[in-house]
Amino acid sequence: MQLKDKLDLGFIKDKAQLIRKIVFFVLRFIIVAGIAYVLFYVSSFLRIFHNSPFIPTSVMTMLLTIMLVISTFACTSELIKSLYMAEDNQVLVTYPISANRIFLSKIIVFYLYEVYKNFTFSLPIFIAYGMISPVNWFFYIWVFISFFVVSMIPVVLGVVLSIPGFFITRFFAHYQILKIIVFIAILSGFIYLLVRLILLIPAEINILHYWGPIKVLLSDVTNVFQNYFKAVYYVVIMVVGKYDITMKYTYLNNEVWLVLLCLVGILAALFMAAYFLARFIFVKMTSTSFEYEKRFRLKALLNRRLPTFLSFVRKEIRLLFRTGQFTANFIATYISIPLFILLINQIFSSMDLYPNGQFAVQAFNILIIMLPLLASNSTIATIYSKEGRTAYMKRTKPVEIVFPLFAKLIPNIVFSVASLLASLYIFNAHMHYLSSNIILLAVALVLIQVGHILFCALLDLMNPQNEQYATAGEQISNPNEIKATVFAFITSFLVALITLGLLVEEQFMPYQSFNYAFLKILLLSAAFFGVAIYMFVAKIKAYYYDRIN
Amino acid sequence: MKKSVILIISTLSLVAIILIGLLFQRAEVYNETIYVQKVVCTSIRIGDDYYDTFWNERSQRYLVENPEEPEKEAPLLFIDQLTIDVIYEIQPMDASTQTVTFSTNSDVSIASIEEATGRIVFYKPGIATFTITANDNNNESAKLKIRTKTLDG
Repeated sequence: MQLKDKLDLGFIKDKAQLIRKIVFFVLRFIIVAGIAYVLFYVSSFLRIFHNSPFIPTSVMTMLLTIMLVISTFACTSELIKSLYMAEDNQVLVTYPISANRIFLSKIIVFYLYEVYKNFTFSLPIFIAYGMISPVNWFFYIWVFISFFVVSMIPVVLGVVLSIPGFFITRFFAHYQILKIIVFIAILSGFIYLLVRLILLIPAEINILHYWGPIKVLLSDVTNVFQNYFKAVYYVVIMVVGKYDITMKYTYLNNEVWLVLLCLVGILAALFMAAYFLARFIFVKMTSTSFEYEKRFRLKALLNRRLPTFLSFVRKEIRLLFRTGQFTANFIATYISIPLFILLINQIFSSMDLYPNGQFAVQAFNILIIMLPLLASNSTIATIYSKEGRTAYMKRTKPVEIVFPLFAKLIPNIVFSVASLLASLYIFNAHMHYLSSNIILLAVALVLIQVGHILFCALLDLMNPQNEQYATAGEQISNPNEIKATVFAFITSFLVALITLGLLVEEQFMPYQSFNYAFLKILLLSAAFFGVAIYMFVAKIKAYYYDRIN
Repeated sequence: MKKSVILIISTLSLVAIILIGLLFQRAEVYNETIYVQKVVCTSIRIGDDYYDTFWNERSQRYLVENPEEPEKEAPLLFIDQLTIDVIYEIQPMDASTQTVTFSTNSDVSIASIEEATGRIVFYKPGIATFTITANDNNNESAKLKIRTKTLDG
């Protein structure tokens, strides 16, 4: 039952859907393995590791370490929520089975999900490694079996780490201010380090000249992983076999059996130790959850009358910050775009390019600013539907419907425009445009961004999915979201291509004075925005008023 | 934002940076040729284990270093088909042509080396010397001497 919740196994009953899923799974497997094989082949051809055409085991140690660290973090965070804070716990304990079984079933679900994830990503990479290395046929059987053991590692570590994780989460839940301060401090520290790292990029990049040091650095890094992550190295030799002194792989020799037994033993011991403690917390949380429920402090507030639109905007901002979801999206998109622009411009500014290269860099910057921004607008295409059945409350309010509908878009418009302007500021710090040119470009891109937000909102208005969200929750595959993403890609590429065309036509160089290319871009953007706002208002009228009448 | 979108954007950026760098970078960057001035044998690899080498002035060869006694040669334990990879470095590191050729003048019944990959195979215990020669400068080479013996000496 829980597996169905996590993996959406509805396709098993439908034969056509089952075949489609299997075909997609196999295709994905082949694509990942193919990409990995090409990368290994290129590394081998260019003799990246130790000037040798052979891929050493240390490379796999590095890859597996990174994958295990990411999986362990993901498992820990998910397990904290699923084991101790999930709302379904209180329903599950009413079933005629023991709390122990519920607890174990939750962990098994995580384990099966981890197996699924590994079979779609990590395993194809190992298969590709096998194809490029002198492994024998046994590897292709053994690798499948061994990944059932490898998948246990992040889950067991996740169960162990979820115990302190739970106490930390609870501590921060009680001290919200402290949580915000710590969060901002970590985020600021991370951004600061990232910026410092990006600024370390040398002023002159010549890949051919730096090729030697890059190869040495890469070889050294993989060796660091092999020397300092011995545990993972042993897991790798358990999976791919041990390179013996005749440079052939040996499987299931005494050393591998020892590694396998040690691994299973350590995981079992860790799991048992964590099991008793975590189970105790789990049972306590499910049976006495009310103790931890938030106690609201009631405070009388004077009801202040605000202008209608402002009231709705205030409500939206409150709703937004009540859940952590927006924060994650905010970081993933709005903060990362300016950082990414800094990175690519730092790389480009260290290249000595011909004029055609300068045009390409400018157009590419616009593409990279617009693509993630517009793609993140796909969430706007679900914004009204996510309200579920409560969405109809909007109709009951004695105000123009455009107020609540538009107010819902305001936070995204404000944050995305701020991110856009920050990105353009960084872009201009490298390009040194004249102010009139950069202002025209900024206004043009803001108009495209806001116009795209309105188009995405329109998709949701015209094809609402409220019922699906009300019944199936957030996990549905929303057609509007897919359309919005495709539209984002088309728009970004068109904007970048048109900009490139206009820049080439006007032969614009960054240091030049006012240029008509930017005026033309602005006019096109204004037309796009005009159409968006006209359609937004017209469709609201059609879908909310005309339908009622 | 969906993971697939992030992946597409990252791949696109990487490809664009490489393409712009290769297509539009001023040609002067590629015109300068830097020749190999020295070939250094840094270590050898047997299985997944690395063994350092050191420069021996007297024999004018690189020798396998004893991990417990630095600057002292260590013989390798012979087993049939003992396979060794040679790890080397080119100096200066930004030399235009970084490729080398491997060769040996030793008795082929003792050991052989693959010309392109530098993979050595020992067939019987003994001493063999291998040469790593820079492809752009035949005068620059490094010699590596490896001694193998059985347990009973």
